[in-house]
Amino acid sequence: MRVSHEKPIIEIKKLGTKFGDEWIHKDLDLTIYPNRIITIIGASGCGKTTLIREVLMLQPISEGEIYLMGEKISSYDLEDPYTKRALSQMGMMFQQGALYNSYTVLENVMFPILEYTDFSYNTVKELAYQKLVITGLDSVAYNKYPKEISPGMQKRVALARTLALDPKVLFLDEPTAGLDPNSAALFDELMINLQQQLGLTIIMITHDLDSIWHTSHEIIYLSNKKVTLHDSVMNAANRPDIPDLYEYFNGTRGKITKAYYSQQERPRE
Amino acid sequence: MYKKITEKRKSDLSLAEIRFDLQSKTIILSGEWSWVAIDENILATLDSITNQNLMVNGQEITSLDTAGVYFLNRLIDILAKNKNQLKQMLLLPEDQKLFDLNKQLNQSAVKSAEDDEELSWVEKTFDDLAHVWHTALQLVSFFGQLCYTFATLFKKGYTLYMQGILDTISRAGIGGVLICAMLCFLLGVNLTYQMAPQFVMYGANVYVVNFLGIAMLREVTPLITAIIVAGRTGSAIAAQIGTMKVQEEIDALQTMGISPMRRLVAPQVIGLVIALPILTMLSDAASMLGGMIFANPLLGVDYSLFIMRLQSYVSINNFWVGIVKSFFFAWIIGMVGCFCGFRVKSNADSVGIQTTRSVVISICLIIVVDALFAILFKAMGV
Repeated sequence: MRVSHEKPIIEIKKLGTKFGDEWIHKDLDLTIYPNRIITIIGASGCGKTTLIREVLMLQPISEGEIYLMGEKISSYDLEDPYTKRALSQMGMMFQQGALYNSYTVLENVMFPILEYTDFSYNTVKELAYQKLVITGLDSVAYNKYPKEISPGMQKRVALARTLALDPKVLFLDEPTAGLDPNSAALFDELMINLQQQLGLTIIMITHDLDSIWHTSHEIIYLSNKKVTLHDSVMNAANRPDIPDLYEYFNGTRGKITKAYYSQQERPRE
Repeated sequence: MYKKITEKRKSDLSLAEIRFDLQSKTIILSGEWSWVAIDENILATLDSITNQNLMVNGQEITSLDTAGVYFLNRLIDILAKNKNQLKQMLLLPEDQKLFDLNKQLNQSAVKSAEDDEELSWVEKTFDDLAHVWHTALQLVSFFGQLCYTFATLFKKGYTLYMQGILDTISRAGIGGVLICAMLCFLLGVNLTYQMAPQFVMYGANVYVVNFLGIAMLREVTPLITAIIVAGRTGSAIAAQIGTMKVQEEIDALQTMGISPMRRLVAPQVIGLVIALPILTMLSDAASMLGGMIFANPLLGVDYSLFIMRLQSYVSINNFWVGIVKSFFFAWIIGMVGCFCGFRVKSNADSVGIQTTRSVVISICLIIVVDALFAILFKAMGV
C-alpha cells in the first residue's frame, strides 16, 4: 500500500477514554496527515501516552473511533491477521527502549522480522543488518547485549527494531530523554533524515524544547481532555490566549530556545 | 512474505512479480515490493538469464519498502554474477530516493556481515576447552581470595557478620532438615531391602549392620546430603548474588568500602560449614533408623541386636570420616555458589545460566573431592 499524501493516515473521531469514573479524553478529534514529524505536548497526566497506546491497540477505548489509513482499528485479538497487519504498519519506540535483554542487538532487530515473515534465517539477518546500518549504529555493537552498550546506542537499536517491519507511522515516547546533548542532537538529525528518506510519519511525545523546535512540523497540544491546538511550532509558541501553552514556550527556559530558533531559517514548515 | 497470510488477504495483495520481456530485453518488476508480498524465491527465475545486455523496469512497482530494496540489491547482484550488463534501472522518483539511500548503506552491511564467521566444530571444541580451563583458573583464584578473607576474618577491628551466618544456617540447615532426613531414611530402607536377599543367601543376616554402617555413614549419607544442599542452597546463593550483581548492588557495596567477600561470601561459607555437618549427622541417624526398622522384618535382626552390633562392630571412624568430608563439601558449595554468582553478566539470562552451573560445578567437585578422600583415608588406614 502506497501512502497517499492527501489522505489522512490517522483519524480519531469523538474519542473518549474513561479510567474509573474519570474521563481522560472526551470528544477528542484528531486528523494526522502523513509525511511529517508531529509532537504531542501537554501537562503530565493529560493522556499523551494513553492516546498513543490507544492507537497502537495497547489499550481499549471507551467510545469513539480510530482509523489507520482508512481502516478502523477495533480488534484487540493479536492473532487476528488484520490486527497484525495494522500493527506492522505502526512502530513504537518505548521510553526505556524496551529491548530484549537476553537477545543480542542483532537478534533484537531480527526478532520482529522472524515473527512476521517466512524469509530464511540468512535473509532476515541481512535485513536486520540493513536496519541497523540505516540508524548509523557502529557494527562493533551488533553482537553485543543491550546492557553492554551506551544509552545513545540503545536508542538507535530500539529505533532499528521499530523500523524492522517498515512501519508507515512511528511513535516515539521521549526519544531524547536521558541522552547527553550531543547524542540527543545526533538523534534529532537521524529522526529528520529517516523521516525524509523513508517517507515516515513520526509522532512523538517529548519535553525537549530543542528537539521540538529542531524537528517538528506540527504541534498537538492536549488539554481539557481534547486537542486544544494543532498548528506549526511557531504559531503554537505565539498564542497568549492559551496561558499554559504560552508559558511552555515562553518560560525561562523556553524563551532562550524560542529566540534562537526564531532567527533560524525554518524551511521545514 | 507475510507468515500467516490468509487466502482472503492474499487476494487483497498484489504480490511482487518479475517478468522478463525477451524482445526489449527488459526485466519488468511489478506488484508490491514489501516484506508482506515478496516471496523469498522470487529471484530464482533470474538464473536462466545470462550474458545479456538488459534493462530493469521497476516503474510498475506499487509500493517499495526497505525489504524490497534489499531484494532489488540482490537482484542486481545475481544479474552481475550471471555476467549480464545492466544498462539502466528505472524506478519511480519516490522509490529511487529510498533505493539510493540503501545502496550506499548495503555495502557496509555486507562487509560487517562477513565479520562474524561460523566456527568449525574443532575450533568450537577447543574454545570450550579453553573456556573450562579459564573458569578453573578463576575458581582457583577465587579460592585464594576466600582463604585470604578467612585469614583476616578474626583480626581485630574487622567485623564479623553474625546476621548473615545465622541466616545461612537457618536457610540451609534448619530448612533442609526434613528433606535430608526423609531422603536418607528412604535410602537406608532401600539399601536394606535390595541387599536382604544376598545376605539371606549366605546366611549372613547380621552383617547387614556392618554393611549399612560403613556404606551409609562413610559414603552415601554425606554425599547425598551435600548434593541436596548444593541443589537447594548453592543455587539460591548463586541466584542471590547474581541478582545483586545485575542490579549493581555489589558495585554499590564496593563504593561504600565494604568488601563483598567479607560481607556476602564469608557468612555464606561459614554458615554452610556449620550447618552441613550437623545436617549430615541427622541424616546419618535417619538412615540408620531406616535400615534398623526394615532389617527386623526382612532379615530377623531385631532392634537391640542391630544397635549392639552397630556399637561393637562398626568403628566410630566411619562416622567421623563422613563428618570431616561434609566440612569440605560445605566449603565447596558455598564457594562455588558465590563464585558463579559473581560471574553473572549484566543480563537476566545470565542469572539462570550461572545458577544452573553452580549446581553442576559443585556436584562435580563434591564427587571428585569424595574420591580423593577415599584414597587419602585408605592410605591413612582410617
